[in-house]
Amino acid sequence: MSLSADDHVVVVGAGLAGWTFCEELRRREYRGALTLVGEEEHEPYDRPPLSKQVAEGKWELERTSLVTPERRAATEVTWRLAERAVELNVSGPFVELNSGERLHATRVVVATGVRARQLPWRTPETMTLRRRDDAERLSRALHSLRPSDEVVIVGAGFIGAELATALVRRGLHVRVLEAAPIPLAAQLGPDIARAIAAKASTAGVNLRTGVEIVGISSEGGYSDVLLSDGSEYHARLVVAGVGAEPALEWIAGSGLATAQGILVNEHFEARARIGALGDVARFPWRGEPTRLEHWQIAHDSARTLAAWWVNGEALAPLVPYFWSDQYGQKVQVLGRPHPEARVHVVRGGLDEDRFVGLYERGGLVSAVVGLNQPRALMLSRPLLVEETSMEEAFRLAPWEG
Amino acid sequence: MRVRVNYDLCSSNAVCMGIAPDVFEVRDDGFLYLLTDEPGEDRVAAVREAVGACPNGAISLEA
Ligand SMILES: Cc1cc2nc3c(=O)[nH]c(=O)nc-3n(C[C@H](O)[C@H](O)[C@H](O)COP(=O)(O)OP(=O)(O)OC[C@H]3O[C@@H](n4cnc5c(N)ncnc54)[C@H](O)[C@@H]3O)c2cc1C
Ligand code: SF4
Repeated sequence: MSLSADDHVVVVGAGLAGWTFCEELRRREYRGALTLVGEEEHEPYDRPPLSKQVAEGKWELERTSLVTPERRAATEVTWRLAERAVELNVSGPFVELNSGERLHATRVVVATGVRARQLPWRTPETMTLRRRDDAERLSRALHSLRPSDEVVIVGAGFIGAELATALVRRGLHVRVLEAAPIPLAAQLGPDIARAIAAKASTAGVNLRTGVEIVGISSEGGYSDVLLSDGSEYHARLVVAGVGAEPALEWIAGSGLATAQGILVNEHFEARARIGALGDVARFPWRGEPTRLEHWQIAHDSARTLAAWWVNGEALAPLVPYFWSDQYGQKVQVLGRPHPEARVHVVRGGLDEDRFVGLYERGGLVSAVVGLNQPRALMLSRPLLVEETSMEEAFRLAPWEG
Repeated sequence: MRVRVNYDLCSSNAVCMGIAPDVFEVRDDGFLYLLTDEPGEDRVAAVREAVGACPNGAISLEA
């Protein structure tokens, strides 16, 4: 059933996916009621710049806003910012807010994203980077650093590596501590991950891998980070980039969520009248339920559900896409790079400053990863739109185009 | 219909190129190039999609 002017859609989570969904509903001329609930006090903003341009000091935080005056005017919503949803009743359906108020709806969309995982040791100098308020706190802390002060970043995943790069560019001393022997190997497989990590030192990032932190203590405005081998780092600031978990505790009673996210169909519906978008959604990608924390998926999932609910239109299946700017390199990923997949380097080389790698799984191309090769990478996108065998991929060789 | 890119906002992530590679091209020098600034009628839908998809709001369309 398509939406009509009598409907009331309640969207929970005023991030990229929730806001894009509202914009798409109105762009498709949905005329019913629309409420957007967000626990942060800020209007929707973009997160990728927080660990890049903002961390480097090149952008003011205001510039990350997703709500320009034109976009606000084109998208009429009832804003419920600085309010948290505490319960979803799927049969009502209704959403209960922390004030106790119930928002009765005809349809509900869950787009509450993920929360940064915290270290077991919390000191006044430790923080994470997920929200605008985190970025603000970080920038305040950076302004109070003295030239000799060191920043320790725990975790050399995407956010840790980006932040380290940005802080080094500000002229700070940065040390990155990573538990895995090869950072990002669990995401990209050992060969590609090793090639990327090898760029850390040229970017001036001091990266130590295979280390185990056994404690962090705080004294006099400094934190001491203690490793299992006995070494110790004295840091004015400790930022943890150790992953994230779906922010779904508020729907625990609904039966929709698991620790892996919310299972949805190809339209991003969890069941009739309930949608789930962005970082929380487990959507079918090549037959496998897949949850990925990618900007593009938040955006495309919102477009997909809006097209389905307003016009009954099924958009083409999305192709996962992710980019990261780290160690002065542009890393781009299309598809899903299983760490155990066989990698064929089709352009450049792993010891060079540019390459394109094809991931092979079950005889098909399952992902394409590029380093500083945006053109060749995007030209390879058709290999992931339709299932493509390796032979066919080599025959077409779109990366040569 | 004219396409414009605000290069101060563009971060060369090539999202637009994934949607309309015949209009937008991020080259290996890391910069975005417009292959045409007046795409044909049949490409307007794709360009509009790119306008909405650009993370930085860097693309605009003018009549
Ligand atoms: C620092 C950083 C850098 C990144 N860089 C990249 C990148 O380079 N490339 C890339 O592809 N992706 C990147 N990402 C990931 C990308 O930003 C996310 O995939 C995207 O923001 C997901 O959108 P979302 O709307 O699903 O979730 P979010 O943007 O997290 O929005 C969810 C919102 O819901 C709110 N919320 C949570 N619980 C409740 C509740 N109970 N009630 C009300 N509101 C609630 C949250 O406060 C939040 O505002 C980055 C993320 C971060 C943090
Ligand atoms: S999508 Fe936007 S930011 Fe990305 S390359 Fe295109 S114009 Fe630039």
